Amino acid sequence: MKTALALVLAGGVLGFAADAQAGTIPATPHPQKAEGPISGTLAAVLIDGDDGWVWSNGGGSDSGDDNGDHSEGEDCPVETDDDCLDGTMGNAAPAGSVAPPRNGLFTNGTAPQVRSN
Amino acid sequence: MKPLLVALALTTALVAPGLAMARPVTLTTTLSSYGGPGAYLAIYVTDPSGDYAGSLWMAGGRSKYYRHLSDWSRFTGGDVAQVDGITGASVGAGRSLELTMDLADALFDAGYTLHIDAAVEDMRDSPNEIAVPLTTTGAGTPVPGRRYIADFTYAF
Repeated sequence: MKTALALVLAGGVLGFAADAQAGTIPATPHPQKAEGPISGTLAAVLIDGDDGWVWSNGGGSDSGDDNGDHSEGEDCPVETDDDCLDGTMGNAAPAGSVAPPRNGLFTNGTAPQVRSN
Repeated sequence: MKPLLVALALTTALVAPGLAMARPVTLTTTLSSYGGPGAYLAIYVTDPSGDYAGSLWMAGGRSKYYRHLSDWSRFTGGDVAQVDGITGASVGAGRSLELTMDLADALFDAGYTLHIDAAVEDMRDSPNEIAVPLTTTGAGTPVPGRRYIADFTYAF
């Protein structure tokens, strides 16, 4: 029993050290004391990167009312996302339903032709 | 015979400037196989001063995700009206989006820059992944992306 307990403890310490290295955080001499702060720091490193933010729907605070198990991929499949292109709920009007914006870029007012493959 | 020639000359003179003001341009964006769901892409143009000039296309229908296209969102304040009528589906990993549109001639060789912001659910946002000056000499030359876009090309 003692042997098993020692193995579990050793595995936990080793696993924690590996996590700390993967997060590019220097291993501390007392990892058990830093467990809480390190978790928070890791989250900050992953979310607040130097070149952008992570679009997350996994229950974090980043996605606002989209928290939980909503998945844009499920609701808006690439092939048939008509439900997402209905121009309702504050969404943009899909191409072809209204004229393009008069921003001076489109010279004849016709919508771009789109093809995806 | 002379009236016919005069009429022909007149119609040519009237039509030619109109044709010269626009040209059909094909924008091809090929995504890399990044192993995630479909990417949202905002394709827009800035003027020679670096100010927002307008949007060309929005790939992705749900406006609540547009904030992840952070440069576009900053320029427009997230104004959905900017992409009314030029919005389509998100683009899957490894797939290509090909857009053909009539663009003003004045955009080329005049200091305008085409930008693409990209974002993928549960993955890092990638603002300004593509920034390519619109020039006639640059047409047909693929520009590599940084994260989700393998390359982008505009051609006449």
